[in-house]
Order: sequence, then structure tokens, then C-alpha cells
Amino acid sequence: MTAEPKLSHTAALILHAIQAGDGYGFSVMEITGLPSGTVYPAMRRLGRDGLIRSQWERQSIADAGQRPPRKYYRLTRSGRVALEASQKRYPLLAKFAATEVERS
Amino acid sequence: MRMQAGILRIASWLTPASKRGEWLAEWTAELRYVGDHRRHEATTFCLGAFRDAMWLRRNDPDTHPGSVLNLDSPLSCLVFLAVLGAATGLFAFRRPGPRDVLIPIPYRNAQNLVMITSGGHFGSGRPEVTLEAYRLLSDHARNVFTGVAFYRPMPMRAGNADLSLAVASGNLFDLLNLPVPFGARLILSDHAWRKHFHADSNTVGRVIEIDGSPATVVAILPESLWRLPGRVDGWLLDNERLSALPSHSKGFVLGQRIRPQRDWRVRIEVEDGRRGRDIFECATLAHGRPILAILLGVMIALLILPAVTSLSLGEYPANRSARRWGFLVLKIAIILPTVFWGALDLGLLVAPALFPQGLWIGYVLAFRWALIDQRRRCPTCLRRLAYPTRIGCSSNILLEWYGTEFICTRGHGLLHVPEIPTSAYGAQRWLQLDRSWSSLFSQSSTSSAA
Repeated sequence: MTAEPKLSHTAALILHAIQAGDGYGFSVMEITGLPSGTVYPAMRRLGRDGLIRSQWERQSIADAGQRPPRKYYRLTRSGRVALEASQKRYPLLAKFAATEVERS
Repeated sequence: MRMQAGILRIASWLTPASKRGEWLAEWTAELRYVGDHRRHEATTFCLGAFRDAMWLRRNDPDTHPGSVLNLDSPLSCLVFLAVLGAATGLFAFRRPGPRDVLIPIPYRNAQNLVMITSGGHFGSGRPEVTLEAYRLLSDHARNVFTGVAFYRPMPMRAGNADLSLAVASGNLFDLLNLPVPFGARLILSDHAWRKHFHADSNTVGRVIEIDGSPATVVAILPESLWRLPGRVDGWLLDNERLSALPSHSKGFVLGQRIRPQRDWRVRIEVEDGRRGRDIFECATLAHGRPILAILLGVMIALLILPAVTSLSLGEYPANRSARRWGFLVLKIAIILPTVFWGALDLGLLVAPALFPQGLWIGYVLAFRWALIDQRRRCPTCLRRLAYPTRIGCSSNILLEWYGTEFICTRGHGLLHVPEIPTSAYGAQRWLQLDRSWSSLFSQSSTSSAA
């Protein structure tokens, strides 16, 4: 039997939002509807557990858009495994997140 | 968005310094997008930064606050308290206000002596009484005072040195019960004598020119004998020079009451036919004994303490009690003077009148901390217990206990703290583990907790 990582519903939702959305903090907030005080610490926790990794946008891209560079989050391999397991555990997760993306 | 940026900057101070720059850059970048899309939610968005900053602080392995202030071991706890006590004590003994309370006034008639102020400027530490008001008081309040003295600190040229001298009425040192010869006399402070006269033993008796007029040095006053407001290099007792000052010149006024006054502050009203009524405030120089203030503060705190925390220390094996009680007594012994000095420092810094309230509130908080800290320590090694784990659930309360279990990182035992005290499980209970359990506690966990 393989050991599947156990995620809370909120963590699974955020993981799903990172994959479905643009991958920065504010887009996760918009997709999930969760407040900033929940989303950012949760993303740091997921990063610490190796489920997501972060990368700063290149300065040249930000300069072209005349805005500060932003930090993007992506799922790691184990993050994708955890998300798949969570989608089995929380079947409505994908549907909920998809609806939120359409709304936003 | 300036206010929101300010909120983020304040929150960033909570993050570890090594990660602050990156953390602030991420939140600032995000704030820009929030401002573009949901401007009305920008403040709420920024308030969430505090939770994120706190999370980062708690989970940062490099700069975890526990590593800065680690009170796990009993020795570090006592050392921390001792250092805190020493710091508050040092501060209290060095500042004029708290020092006057801690060290008894050296004057024999201190019970009769009062500092007089007018215009509601009590406790400002600045000269507030005009020369005119002083004359009014000395003429019209003879039924209250046996004598009133005035002194005004001002810069003057004494010989070859620039000194800060208090031009004073001739009776200033008589009221303090420190008699000096009659005439125009200069009394130097010990500090000024050493600094400007190189501790020359022939200084006393010398005539020095002060702003063009001669004055004889009649004494050197040790620092400990001057406990009145105003720090000066010397005192020029010269009634003629005093009367030459403009009547609106402000100074300090010392009075000697006919009867000892128990009240710390009293008001005196003086009728003057031309100017109407003048109101003066008098504060006695003699303060109560610190030990009485401590006892009163402790008594009030002990009455309030049961309302803010449980007094029970839990159920422990009898043979473990001596060390625990010894540790608690040591903590309390350090807390007693520390809180007193701290309340003195803070009270006289913020509002002297609130010192009694600050004292008992300080004792309530300190005793509460001491009891809570005591309940979370292993009775064998006295180290803080770790790894709190929730056990059971509330629906099983009739069949089983539920609450929180703590463990001693050195493997001495487990502490069961019930969520709701019941007749079967009223207080926290210690389960001592024998040596056969030691294999479960690895050396690494022990050393990491140390």
C-alpha cells in the first residue's frame, strides 16, 4: 500500500487553485475565496512540505509591464500526486474550483 | 495605498530579518494587483499579512524566537528573571524619582519637609514657583510653615569655571538641618569640587569671585546629601543676590511645616489683598517604606489571583515536591523586588499617581505567569514539558478523560491536563515513567530540547 499524503480540504483547494489559476497569491485568493491571512501561510506550509515551489518573475518581464515582479507558485511532482489523491478524497474539489475560475 | 504599504512594513518587522526583504517584496507586488482589482479590500488584504508574518516567524528554523528567549531549563528561567530584576533595579536606583522612594531621605526632619509648587505643575521637575509667589508664601503662611526657602539654578561664572549654581535664600540648608556659617556662602557639590577644583583640600575657605561678587566656599556637599529637585554644581546662599533677581524668576521652594504631614500631597491657599487667592501644592519628602508597599501589592494580588488562574499546581508524587517548591519559591523571591522596581520605573515615567495600581497589576500578572510556568514543568528535571497532544473527545467524558497530554523530553514522564475538571479527574496528573521507557526517548530529541 502506498502512503498518500493527507491534506486538509483548504490545503487541497489551494493546491488545486495553484494548478488551475495563474499561480500567484492573489489569483489563489480569487479562485478559492479565502482571505490573504489563510492563503499565504498555507502556501508557505505547502512549500515547506515540498508540494509546491516558488519562483520570482524575471525583472525584464515586470519592467515591460511597468509593474513590480511577482512570485509564482508551481506544483512539484509530489504536489501533483497529493492533488490527485485529494481529488479522490474530495470529489467536488475540481468542480468547485472550476466554477470559481469561470466566475472570476 | 500609502496606508496599506505602511501596514505591510509594520507586519514585515515580525518576519525573520533574513527573509524580510523577499517577504515584503512579494506582499508589495501582490498589493499592487489587489489595488488594481479590489481597491476596497486592500486594507483587509494587508491585515492578513500579520498572520503570514507570524507563521514565517514561528516556522523559521534559523531565527525561531524560542532560540532567542529559551526558558525551558530551570537555570535559564532563573537567570532570565535575575537579569530582568537587575535591569529594573539598576534603572530604579539610577533615576532620581524611584531612587528617592528606595533610599530614605537623609534629612533628620524629613517628615516636616515639603516641596512646594504652584499652578498645578506638581512633579514636573522644573522650577515653577516665581520669586514673587515665594515672598507671598513666606509672608502669609507663617501659621503653616516654620520656614520657607527658595533656590533658582542658573549658569554663573565662578573663578575660572562656568558652573550651574543655585542662587538660594540663606535658610535653605538650615531647613535641611545642614547648618552652614552666616553670610554670602558658596557650597560646592562633590562632583564640581573634583571636576573644577581638582579635589583641592584648600578649596574650603577660599574666596571666589562669582559674576563679579565675592563668595566664600564654606563646604563641599556629598552627592548623597542633596535629594531635592535640580542638579547643580553648587549653592550660593546669598539673600542680597536673590532679591536682585526679577520677581518673575522661577525657582524651587522648600518648606518646613510646623507639624509633620502624613498626606503625601496637600493644597495650601494664601489670600493676598492685591492679587486674590494663590494655591500651592505641597508634597512631603518622606516616602513610605518600600516593604509596606510590596506587602500591600502582594495582598491585593493574592486576592485577585484566583479569578485569573487556578491556584492548584496538580497532583504529583510526594517525593518530587521539594525541588518543585524550591524552584517556585526562588521564582517568587526574584519576582517580588523585580515587579516593585519595574512598577516604580514605569509609574514614575508615565504617571506617578498610578504607581500603586501598577504595582498590584504587575504582581497579579507575574504570579499568574509563575503558576502557569510551574504547572508546565517536569517535577524531576524542572524543564518545560513539550509536545502538547489533544487526547480523547468531549463525548467520552463519562467513560474516559479528555484533555491535553504533555511529555518530558528527557523521558521522565507524562502530564495529563483535563479539559474540564471532573470529580474523577479534577487537577492535572503526573505519570512518572520508570527507566524501562528510556529507549523511546532518543538522544537527538533530548539534545535538541536542551
